[in-house]
Amino acid sequence: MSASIFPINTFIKGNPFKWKEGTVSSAASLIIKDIPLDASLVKFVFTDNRGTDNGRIMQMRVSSNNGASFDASSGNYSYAIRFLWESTFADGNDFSSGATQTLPSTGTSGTGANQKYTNIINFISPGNNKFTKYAASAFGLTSGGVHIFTYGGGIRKTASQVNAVQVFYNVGSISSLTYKVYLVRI
Amino acid sequence: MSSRIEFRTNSALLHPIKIIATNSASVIFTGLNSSRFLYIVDIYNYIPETDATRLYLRTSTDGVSFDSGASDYVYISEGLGTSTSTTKRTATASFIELNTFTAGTSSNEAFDFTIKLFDPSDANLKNILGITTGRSSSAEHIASWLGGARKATSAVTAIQFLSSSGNINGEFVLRGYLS
Repeated sequence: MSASIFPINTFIKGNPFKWKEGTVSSAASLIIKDIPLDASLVKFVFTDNRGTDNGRIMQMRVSSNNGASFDASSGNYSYAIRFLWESTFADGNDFSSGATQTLPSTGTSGTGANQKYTNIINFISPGNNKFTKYAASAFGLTSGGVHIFTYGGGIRKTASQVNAVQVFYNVGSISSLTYKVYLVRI
Repeated sequence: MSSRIEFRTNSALLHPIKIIATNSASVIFTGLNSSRFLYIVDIYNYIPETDATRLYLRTSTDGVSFDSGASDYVYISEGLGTSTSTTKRTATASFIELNTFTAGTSSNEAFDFTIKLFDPSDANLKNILGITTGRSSSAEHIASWLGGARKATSAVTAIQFLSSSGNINGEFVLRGYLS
């Protein structure tokens, strides 16, 4: 019997490689720079994610100049996020075709016990000189004490590479966030 | 009889592990720990022994007993079929129901799942996300999306898959993204 074996976190074509990691505490935003342009998939995984202010939503912007500036003009982004509640509230969609930022989730972060989110955000080939697309899903306990599940995606409507991503809350700062960024190269 | 395997995270290898369930009472993966930030279970060609049933997920903190209290879990799912759509949701469940549509036993009725479990060892609620595609017990082609959680902050060390009724068949592959 034979098996393909390799040491932990060794780069192997086609396999997820842990590229960056860290924690955020009371910071205005998380900025991930130097995204390799040859990555076919960049997967952001967040846990312990909440804002400093009650009832706020995480937002996201991207950069083509490695974080020197982030695209924030009207019409830069389109997104469509589906959200479903555990009960009592109405499900719905949050979408825009001309926003100054995009969304990884629509759930409101809270400051109460366990009112946090886990997120997965997948950017596909961000190094391509095409509109940049991402898919995102999240689950968490909202500021209202009700669980919410969201999934969807968005587009940065500029035909250029993305080599930096910024996430932040629409009001206040990131209270806590643990992140890992995985790359897949082909 | 359950099929059980340990995820050996101390071996300095990054192998996925696989269980092929053949009329098994359940599939159990043990050995989950903080060495992985994200666990992903891909389930291929899931077919229940009993028609029109659902696949459940439960978690364990000791690898021996699996949490099954009446309010241990919350889940929300939405499915789209070729002719129908449906949602499932509850915050007071003794399991997480993975398929929005019921699984069937007739020819070509089978589901594929991808289930993601976030850091099982951190101090937060144990959230999961999932996607299902396949052909339901109503012979409808479907896709569904799922979010859920074990509503406790204790470290999860094992997960169990079982049917709402009868035994299960399919190929269960567990892989971990490094912490």
